[in-house]
Amino acid sequence: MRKRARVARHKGGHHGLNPNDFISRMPDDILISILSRLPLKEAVTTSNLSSRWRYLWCQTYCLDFDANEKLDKIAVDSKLRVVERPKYINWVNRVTRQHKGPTIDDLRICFDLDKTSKGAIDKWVEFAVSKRVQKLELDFLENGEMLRQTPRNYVFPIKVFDRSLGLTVKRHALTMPKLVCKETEIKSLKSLFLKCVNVSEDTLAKLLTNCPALQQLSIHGSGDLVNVKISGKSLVLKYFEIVFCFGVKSIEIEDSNLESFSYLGPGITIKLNNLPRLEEISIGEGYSGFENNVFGQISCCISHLQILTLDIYRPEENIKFVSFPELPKLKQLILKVGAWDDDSLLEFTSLAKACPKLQRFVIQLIWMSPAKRRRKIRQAAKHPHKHLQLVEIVGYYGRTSDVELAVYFIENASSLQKIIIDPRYQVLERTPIGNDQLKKEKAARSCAKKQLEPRTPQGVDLVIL
Amino acid sequence: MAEFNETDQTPTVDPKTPNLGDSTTSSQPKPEQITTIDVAVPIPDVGPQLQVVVEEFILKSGSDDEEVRTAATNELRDFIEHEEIGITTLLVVVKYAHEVKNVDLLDAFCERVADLIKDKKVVEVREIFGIVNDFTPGEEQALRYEHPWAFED
Repeated sequence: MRKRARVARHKGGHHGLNPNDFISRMPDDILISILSRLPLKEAVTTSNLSSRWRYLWCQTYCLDFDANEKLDKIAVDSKLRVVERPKYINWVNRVTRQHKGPTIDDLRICFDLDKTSKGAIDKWVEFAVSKRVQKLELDFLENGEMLRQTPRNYVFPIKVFDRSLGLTVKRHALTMPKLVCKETEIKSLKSLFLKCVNVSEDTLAKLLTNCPALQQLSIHGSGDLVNVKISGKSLVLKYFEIVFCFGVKSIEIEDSNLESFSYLGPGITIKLNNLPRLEEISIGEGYSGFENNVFGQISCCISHLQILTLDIYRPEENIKFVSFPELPKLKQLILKVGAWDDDSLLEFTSLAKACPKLQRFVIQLIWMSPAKRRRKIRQAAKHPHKHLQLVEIVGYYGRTSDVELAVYFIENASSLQKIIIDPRYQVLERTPIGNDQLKKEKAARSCAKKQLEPRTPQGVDLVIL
Repeated sequence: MAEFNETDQTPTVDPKTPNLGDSTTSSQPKPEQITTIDVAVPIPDVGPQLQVVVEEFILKSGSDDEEVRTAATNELRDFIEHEEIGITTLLVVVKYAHEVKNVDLLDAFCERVADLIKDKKVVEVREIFGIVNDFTPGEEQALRYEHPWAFED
């Protein structure tokens, strides 16, 4: 009845609907689908368009609380955090309270938050679970870019996921019935991405048991994990990642359908066994990247591996590359290498040589102390890379070693179609790039042009970003 | 407070919509135009070029091969980006995709409509879509106070 009275107040029949206003006549779910694709702030401003639109945004199924601009400011002046943190928390609280839709696909919280905000964050996780969230992302990096001392991290609220304790969810009493969860399983969760959230072994085990649909799990910067074990054919887990969890001593993955595994951190014990679907591995252990006999650790998957990423921060001077095996099915080889002085990169071609089916080769150079030296371009032993179509040199500096590598592939890859050269500094930081850096990038770009354009054969597309 | 005026608006797209020509597509109805592909629900008149594109996409989106589907989606998105498809036509396809429940088609076109709303002020969006502001100034002000953070710019 009150609704009728409201209508009467407005001019014109159907709220003054313009006959050309087709969009407002669309059914709610179409409009909600459109609004769910907008950044959250913009979705909310649509509430101002007209009365038809006023509450549509409340049913959005994507809640990405992105505050990148604020985080950039905090990175420059960390004192701002004191003021910005409560603002962020209020924002999330407000919006989650107003949300009316029955489900959410994505919830992403990304801010510098730690255990001092436990009360608020716990509620957000409960909210997500009650809305049957599919993808949950908690990114709590300090200043939005650094790892926090782990004792200060927020601890993952596994009790929200351990329904056997019979938790009731009491939110939005007016708009949602109280849910008394008798189920012990959280069937909706497919992806969980955690940064600077502490996850214990017990929590991990419970997550894998209580979330039968979990396909992607990434844990970054967590304390409390020591020995990680993933096993079981019933697991639908496809993607598993552990990054910079410094307490971890071992990772054992066996008898599962895992498709992609990623580890970055100190050298640890890695045991992989019976993983027939594991086609993608990304590994970076310790300083040289080859500590602990990486190829021995991943030996069970070598026969079917398709994509391999190796993080080699400080390549050892005399690495005996001869000792690694052939990777018969490998299609993509990605090397992340520290760029020191003008050290030759040709030794990495032996890795490429071990992959007869290689289609894409990427080397990402992280500028540590690169320097251009005048020396002769060396040649590595020739080798036909029959299937190699794409070569990417990311972080091209213009050193002789960079040119050497490009020339090697130009000369040896008969099927080469494209070379992509990215002359930019590769470490993403929140503080804006200084003039020094910009100058280096500009110099690198023009070096690339001078050095490579004349050497690129017909039929090969040279792209300099 | 949390009212939802559902009963007041039962939105239906005016059946005459497809025949309102957009300046950017030749959407004059051609009675002799026969769809060459047998679709269960006929595609409304969106102009000959777009019709073919949509028909082909629907066919490919039903393929079992994921690569075929992905390639088709990329092609469709490229097409949408480069051709200036009028708003009315976009909405016609959106509604059609919704009716035939083709998720990929709906995705691609909803994304485009969302792009038209992004980075624009409320008054601009109203103009583009012909939305009439039926709030009283008092109501509008109250709305801004509800979400001050959204209007901070």
